[in-house]
Amino acid sequence: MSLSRPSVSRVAALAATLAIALGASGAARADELHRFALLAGNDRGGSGTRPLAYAKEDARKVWDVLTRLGNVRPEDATLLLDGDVDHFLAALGQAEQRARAAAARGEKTALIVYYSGHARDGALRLGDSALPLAALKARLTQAPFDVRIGIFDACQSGAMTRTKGARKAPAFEIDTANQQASRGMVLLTSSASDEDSQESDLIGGSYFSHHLASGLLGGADKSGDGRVTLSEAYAYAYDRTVADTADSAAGAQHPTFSYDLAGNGDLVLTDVVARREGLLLPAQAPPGAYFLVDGKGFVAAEILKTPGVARQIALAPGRYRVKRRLPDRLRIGQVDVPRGELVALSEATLRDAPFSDDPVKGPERDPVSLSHWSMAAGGGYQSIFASPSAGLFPATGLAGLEFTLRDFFRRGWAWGFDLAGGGTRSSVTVLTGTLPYRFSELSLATSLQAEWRRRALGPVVPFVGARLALLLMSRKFDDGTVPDQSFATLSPGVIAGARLEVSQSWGVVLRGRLHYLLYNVDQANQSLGYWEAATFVQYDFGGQP
Amino acid sequence: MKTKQRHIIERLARVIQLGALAGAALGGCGNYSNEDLDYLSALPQTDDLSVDAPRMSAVRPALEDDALQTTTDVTTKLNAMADDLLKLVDQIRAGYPTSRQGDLRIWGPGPADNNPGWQIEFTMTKDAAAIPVTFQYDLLMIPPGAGAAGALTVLTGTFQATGGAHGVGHLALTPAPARDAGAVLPGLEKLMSLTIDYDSQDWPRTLTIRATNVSTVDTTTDALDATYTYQRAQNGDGAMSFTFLKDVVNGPLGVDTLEITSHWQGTGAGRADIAVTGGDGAGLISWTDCWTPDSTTAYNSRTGAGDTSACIPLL
Repeated sequence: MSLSRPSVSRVAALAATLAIALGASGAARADELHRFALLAGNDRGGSGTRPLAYAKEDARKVWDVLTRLGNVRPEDATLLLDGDVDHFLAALGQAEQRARAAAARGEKTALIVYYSGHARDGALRLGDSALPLAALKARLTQAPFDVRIGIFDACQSGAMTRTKGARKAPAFEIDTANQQASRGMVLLTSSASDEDSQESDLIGGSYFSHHLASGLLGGADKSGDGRVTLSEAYAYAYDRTVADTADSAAGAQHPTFSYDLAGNGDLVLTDVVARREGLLLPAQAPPGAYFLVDGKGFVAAEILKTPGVARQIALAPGRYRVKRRLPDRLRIGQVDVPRGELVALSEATLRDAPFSDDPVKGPERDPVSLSHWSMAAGGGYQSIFASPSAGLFPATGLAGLEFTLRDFFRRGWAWGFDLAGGGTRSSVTVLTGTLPYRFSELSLATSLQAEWRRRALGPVVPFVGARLALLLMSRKFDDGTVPDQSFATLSPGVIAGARLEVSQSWGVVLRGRLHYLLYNVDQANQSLGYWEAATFVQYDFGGQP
Repeated sequence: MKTKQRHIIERLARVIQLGALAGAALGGCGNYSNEDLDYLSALPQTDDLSVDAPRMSAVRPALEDDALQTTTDVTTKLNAMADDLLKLVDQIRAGYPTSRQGDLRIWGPGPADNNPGWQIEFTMTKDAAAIPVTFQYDLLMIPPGAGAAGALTVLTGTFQATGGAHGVGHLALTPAPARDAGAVLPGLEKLMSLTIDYDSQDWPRTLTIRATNVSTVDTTTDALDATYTYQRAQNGDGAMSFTFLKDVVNGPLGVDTLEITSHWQGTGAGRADIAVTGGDGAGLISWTDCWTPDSTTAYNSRTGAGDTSACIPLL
């Protein structure tokens, strides 16, 4: 059957029908194929693209699902994070080599290629390198595997399926009558050729990969046989992705597929019952969307449970927070999944909670994978407010270095460390005359800034933040009989500015600061202040400028 | 989402509050002060206390004028004494006050050199309401265990910031009380008091020094009392008057009063009038000596050499 853009409810019904029709006999068993997998995630897409936040995390998530549940042995699965085209093709070549060896042993082979990252102008963009979709498709077509599955979660990735046999549709047309061994290729893309693929801070990933992974964990097991087939996973991901993005500012995102698979029907991608490990939503559990949040705050699975149907979710061992949303409140709780055990969720263990206690608040960031450093050098001008400090601290130029750790505490936050120094000549009038001197200043500071990346602003990234500086100021008098003076103090302040990203790694920063300065050497404390304006050239070392 | 934003704002506010509290709690530290500079500038400086000798010829003549030599000897000794005093002042000026209370600045107390157990403290007060602004300072020595109430004044002084080059100052060195209490004061063993008045606000600059030794001093080797006045003009002209009581002529009266009055011009030419005006030698010694810009004698009343017309006029 061939479907075109039905409603969500119709899609769900069709997918269920499809799953039931296929049944256990219609689906290729997971253990019949020697499976290889290449999973690539790259947040960076080179010049002209904005960095992604969760591409690598998406790849990790799918890698985990396939190696735990997808009958892909860890040694046959390559997880490529932030790799370029050369790395990607080299990994593909290794898989092909091993597939040939397996074929020589008489084994049937399958390859699952998953990519999460940028795509633009008809090519996957892995960092600064590009892999034309047509070339990749040709390579996969010729690859020595009996079954080739390509899953591409990237903007405009629908171009991959546009040329031939493409469907922007919720389910495959499966030939259930053919009892031959499966051969051919299936391509899934996260969005149509003219659509962006969207990420969500709330779920900590892209919509498509998130729902695909949730489906593979068991959410897509419409048939209830404990195995998730390719068509089930796609249908589930399609429905949920379209539903979640329908109201987004970027517009609805429609996954697509290209199905050119001949043989004995659908492919089982994951077996969620074989391990007997995870969480069971009993048939009597209330229907609705269940969010299972892992210890890092990522939504490990988002399961749409239908009434009267049990659903087994093959969660990895660990502690999870559970949420089910009702119109007026939440039902939340916690469940531990021990290794090798299947735990049934009891509704009695959940409690009512207001929406403010929603545990799905976005993931805690993984500092290793997401945070990155940048360095900036530049100069500026500092002026301490003239009154009442006239003649005390002269205005001066400053040159400085700044080191910033981005996305460490959370996405969009920058933790900065800066060092600046400068000096000028000035003089002070005393009762007996004028004393010329050389003023010097050194500041060492840390700051926390929130940055806003908005499509509407283009390459301009505004930011505001707070800063705490240690100021070391001194002056050396030309009159050698007058000893040097120095002053050190902590000075809190606020920062505002904007960064113009001129390339993937380089940017220009314009920034202003307003600081409080407590001066307490002469008699009573004096609350002073100063302002600074500066411009810096910044270089970003990591995945996101 | 709103909850998240509120949470972020609360966290940010907390960071700012902590920063402000840290800044307020730690405060600033250091000696960066304009007011302290006023106090330091009120202390006597080299230019206030130094004496310029008559300009000497670059090539010292074989027969250098005696009176010129005497005049330069006196100025050299006075400058050496002024240097000693300035070294003491410079020790104070080398650092900034350890305590600031309104118009009071205090250095110390701290250990006194050469006097184990003794402490030394220097205080300065400013009378900002006075016209001109006036400073008062005292150097105190505190005997072991005596506490602040037992502090002994070694040096006291005042300064009026009249403007101009510097100002008008007075200082008095009174080592006797501390010395009597057991303090060791190298170089001041015989000194009873020393007062210095200087006026460097305008030209001519003036300096008056009076030193009085203890009455038991051997007047055949040391003066009992000496008064020195000095003035110099901007063009290099200068004058000094040095009067001291010393036993230079044997006799029943003991000490004699010896007066040396010198005048010189910026060119180097000058004259000296030397006389014993009191004591056993009164009237016995009196002569005038004049010298040329090249430091040779132009006129000597004792020998009759030269001509009085070669002498510069009295300033």
